Amino acid sequence: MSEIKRKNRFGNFLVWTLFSVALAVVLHFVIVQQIPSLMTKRSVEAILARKKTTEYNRLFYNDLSYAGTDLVVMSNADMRSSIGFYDVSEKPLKIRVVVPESGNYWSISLYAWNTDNFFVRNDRNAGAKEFDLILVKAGSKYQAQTGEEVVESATTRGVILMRYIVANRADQAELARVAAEQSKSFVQSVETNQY
Amino acid sequence: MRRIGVFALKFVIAIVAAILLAGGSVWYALRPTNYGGEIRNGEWTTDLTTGGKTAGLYQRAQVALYGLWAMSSSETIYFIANTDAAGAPLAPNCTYSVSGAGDPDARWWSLTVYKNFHFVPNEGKVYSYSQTSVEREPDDSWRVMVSPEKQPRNWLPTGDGAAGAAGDLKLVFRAYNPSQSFVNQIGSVKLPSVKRESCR
Repeated sequence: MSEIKRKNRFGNFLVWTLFSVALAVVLHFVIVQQIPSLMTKRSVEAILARKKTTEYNRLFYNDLSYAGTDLVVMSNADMRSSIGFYDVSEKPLKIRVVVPESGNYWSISLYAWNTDNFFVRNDRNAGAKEFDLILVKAGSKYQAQTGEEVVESATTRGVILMRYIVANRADQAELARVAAEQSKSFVQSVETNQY
Repeated sequence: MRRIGVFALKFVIAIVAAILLAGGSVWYALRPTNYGGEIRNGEWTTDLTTGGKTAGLYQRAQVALYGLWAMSSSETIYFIANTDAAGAPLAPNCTYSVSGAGDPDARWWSLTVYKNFHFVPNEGKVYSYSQTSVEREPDDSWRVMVSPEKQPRNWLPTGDGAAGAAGDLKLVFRAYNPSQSFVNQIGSVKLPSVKRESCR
């Protein structure tokens, strides 16, 4: 093979290798950036499938997690949770929050679809025993009514998670009390002309 | 025509190579044994950006994979132990004692064991101990035994005692509403020690 041909082939190989590496770098960052949204999608679908529904804007009141039923990785073993998946693309969603009186840690967290935790309040900084959050999409024209607190989500879909710590998961009386507290909070779509 | 064919083949090879390289590098960067955080305190690691808006791209991805919907550090700090105090990976065929001298400067704590990121099935359905459930010594200290063999008290079962792979077993110590001084000294606050007692 002549020297020129050899150099051409090497140059060709180098160009293709650089192209491949550059593309790999772009793909690497795209994949890493998309993982949170993909994991949300996967977990939401799995939880809804277990609940035998596809319904968004509904709160599910969960028992403690157990081995074999813990869908989410590294679940909290000391917690009952209420979880819901919101879709505020067409209407706002009211979240009626009732703070439990047990004295154990409790919180409400809102997560955008990409897992950004954009809102959290716990039993010590809630400020009130009951309050209404109105969850709206970004840029919404919704006007808060008296007693409402408007919270804007960067994504039209996401996750509502209320965590109720139990002091002792073997205490059936405590579990029953917490279950009763959970059922007091709920979500409801809001009818409005301005959205 | 032949030239187009050769070009197309090279293009496809380059794309496939890029996908394999990207996939492999993502797996390596986010592999499970890497999960824990940048801050080290003995055998525990953590990251104060977990669940927060300042978390970096890789931290977000790791939390999504291994700790989905984690809370921010003002609510809960997650300490993860992948190794014992001597630096050896935690193994499901070994017995460990996790000892604490009282409680950290936080509202409440819990200690949970995971195998392959999930609860370990056991007859008693015991997966964790907490500030309010652990049996203590008269001086308020406590010791939880993490073991495949039955223990007289504060026992976290880890399964049938089969050896498993490195990284299979993890301990997570959660500290709720930690005090500001606890957060400020996160790299040096006293955390439970994880000591390997024996292995099958």
